[in-house]
Amino acid sequence: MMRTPEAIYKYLRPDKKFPHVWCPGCGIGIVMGALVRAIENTELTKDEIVLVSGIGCSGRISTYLDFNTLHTTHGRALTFATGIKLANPELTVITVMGDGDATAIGGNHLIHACRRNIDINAIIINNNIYGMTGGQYSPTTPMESKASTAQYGSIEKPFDICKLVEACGATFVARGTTFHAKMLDAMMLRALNHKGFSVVEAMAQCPVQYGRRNKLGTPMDMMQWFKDNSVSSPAFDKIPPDELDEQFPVGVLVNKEEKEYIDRYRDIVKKAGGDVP
Amino acid sequence: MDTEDLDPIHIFSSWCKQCGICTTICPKKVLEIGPDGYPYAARPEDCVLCGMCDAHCPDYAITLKAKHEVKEEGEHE
Amino acid sequence: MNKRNEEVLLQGNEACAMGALAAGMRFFAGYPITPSTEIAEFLSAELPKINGNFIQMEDEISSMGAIIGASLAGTKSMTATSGPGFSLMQENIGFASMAEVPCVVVNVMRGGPSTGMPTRPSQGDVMQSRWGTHGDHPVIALCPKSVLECYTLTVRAFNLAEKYRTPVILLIDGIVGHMWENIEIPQAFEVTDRAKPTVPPEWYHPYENLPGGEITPLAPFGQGYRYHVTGMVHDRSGFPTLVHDEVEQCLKSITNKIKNNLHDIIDIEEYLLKDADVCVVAYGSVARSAREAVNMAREEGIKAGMLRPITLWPFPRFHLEDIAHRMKTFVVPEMNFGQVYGEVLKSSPKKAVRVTRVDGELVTPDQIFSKIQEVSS
Ligand SMILES: Cc1ncc(C[n+]2csc(CCOP(=O)(O)OP(=O)(O)O)c2C)c(N)n1
Ligand code: SF4
Ligand code: SF4
Ligand code: SF4
Ligand SMILES: [Mg+2]
Repeated sequence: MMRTPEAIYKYLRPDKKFPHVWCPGCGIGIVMGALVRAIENTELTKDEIVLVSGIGCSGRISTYLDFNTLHTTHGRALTFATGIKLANPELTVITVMGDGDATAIGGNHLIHACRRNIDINAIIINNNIYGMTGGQYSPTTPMESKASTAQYGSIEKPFDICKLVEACGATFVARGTTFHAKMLDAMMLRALNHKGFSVVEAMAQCPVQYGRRNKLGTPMDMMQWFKDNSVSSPAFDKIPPDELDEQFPVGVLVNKEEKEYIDRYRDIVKKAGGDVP
Repeated sequence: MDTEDLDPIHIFSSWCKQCGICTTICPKKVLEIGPDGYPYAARPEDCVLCGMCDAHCPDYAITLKAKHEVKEEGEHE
Repeated sequence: MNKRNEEVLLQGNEACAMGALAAGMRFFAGYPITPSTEIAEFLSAELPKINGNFIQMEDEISSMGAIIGASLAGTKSMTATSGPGFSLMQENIGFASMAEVPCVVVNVMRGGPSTGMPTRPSQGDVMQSRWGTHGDHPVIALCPKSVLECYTLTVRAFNLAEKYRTPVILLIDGIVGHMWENIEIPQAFEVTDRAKPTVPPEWYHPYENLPGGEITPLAPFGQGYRYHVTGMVHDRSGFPTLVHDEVEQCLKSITNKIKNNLHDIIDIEEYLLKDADVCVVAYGSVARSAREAVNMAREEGIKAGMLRPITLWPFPRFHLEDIAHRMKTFVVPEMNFGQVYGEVLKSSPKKAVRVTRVDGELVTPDQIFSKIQEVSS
């Protein structure tokens, strides 16, 4: 497998200058590394890939990579992606969204993209916070965690993104973390090869807006927490509920075959008497 | 391992943001923070080319260079 | 008698959908809302027949996002809605303006604000179509008065969208959208297709200002021209920038491409204006009443005429200024409290009066006629 920097050089925009915008120790860079390693392991050319991102620190990924890239409006990446994929099903469409992007302002689009099972790959970078706007609480901020708009701790029950998208009909769902960087690219590769709507939740540290406010230590400490609390999904299912504390399952959580949206639309075209290419 | 191969780790300090992930994540404690604040390979001979450092560097500042195949270790679960 | 094409009885909304298909639209995304829904219903039946895409999205925000995405993939695309949905679309309409992505947004106007009067027509969104999205941005809005124009102006909306790489809004008032008329479907008309880049990918800058004001063609995604599209202020390659010159260049060029082509974009209809000293400025369904009122005035010996903006934005201000000196008064009837009246005042301060109606009924010829009488006595 190609190493990260080599893959990055290959897919990096030649006219974009590194170092990138993310803070020291930010997990988004690690997720982007995993994404390019996954893409490197497909047969896809740069021209065949459309990378659509929302707005946020995570959304900045689209600026750096040498694909057809689209930096949309906050929360709406999947809507633009849906238009692109329908208009040209030959393209591989990857969306990168933050936790706020995907599950707060864009929550409606997320659930409906799942329901349609349209062949789009969604990568949700979950750092449990609104990083870009300065650390406000997001739908995945844990209860009692502090945020710039939750000065006394959050009182809202967080989403479990993987459970949410599974319930809405996503046919491939996986969760990884920045600690499991190499597992993350293996999951992304499987997601890319999956036909239907796929979601990879990448748990990533935001040491600056989330970690510091909640005294979670260094970026490495935050990754160590991912390591210590993640349990591979089959093993997770065996943990008795009363022994569950902060653990969460990682790995491929859902992988099923179901007819994809564009295939179903092709049936409609046939019914209407149109020519399916 | 040939001694010529023994400095497999290159760190581009112009991309490095001194986050300290690589020095902590290396299972062999090869990397240390130098006096200038940037990591360097203090014990390159101990490097097992596991690839933990370069896959976890958020800034792509580490390149592992080796004449032989780099091992695919460090896969988790 | 000339041989005529067969006439067909069509509804305004249907004619709009047919015009879109004739213009080459092959992607529609929308969300149901009265009084625009017939457009979506019609296209849901017709688009699959020609291997086009129809999708009913989860709301109007996503409909707008989807048509921008489809357009970037190289397909002419459209959405249709009414007031509340038009409000939801505003952020992404701004995106299309900023990122210079051609698309057509149809707003069949109903009574507002808010849920307003879903089943009653209005012309209340004239200003929203101009300034609905934030920031200084260009806009083109066209306004049909008949079923035939629902067809022809939809074709024109696509042509302008492609030519100027910009969203174009079609403001159909609820009366025109739901009106039935016999029309002869136009057979020969110009269709502007998406221009293709003439330079190789290495030289391609999607936001470059070409000499002579020519607009850089938008390369469809997936054709070898990899570039970045963003709603942020960007440089000529599409990457976000805060460099002063580049910021100014970006914002000026999206506005100037419209401002420098007013003669091409603006279309008006003049009726009995040559010797007129009272000018009725009316658009959409109200222009039909206005025409009638002008005829009534002429019968009374009043030299009335009508100017109908077919292009509402950019507003035909210079056309009004040209004739203002010979007018005693402009009479501006509209189904709102005076949105276009405000624009007329800008060209002709102190010389305009309004006739407003917001009860969900058409301004009648009598109403306009009595105002004409009043101002000319
Ligand atoms: C419509 C709209 N509302 C609010 C914002 C401001 N905003 C920008 S990014 C962001 C949140 C980002 O959080 P997340 O999606 O989790 O991404 P992260 O920065 O954490 O990667 C917000 C609220 C916006 N750009 N647009
Ligand atoms: S604010 Fe947080 S998420 Fe954003 S770049 Fe910094 S560390 Fe990363
Ligand atoms: S490759 Fe492995 S052993 Fe070598 S320096 Fe990096 S982390 Fe340490
Ligand atoms: S992980 Fe990368 S950025 Fe962080 S200290 Fe090491 S080399 Fe520098
Ligand atoms: Mg976030």
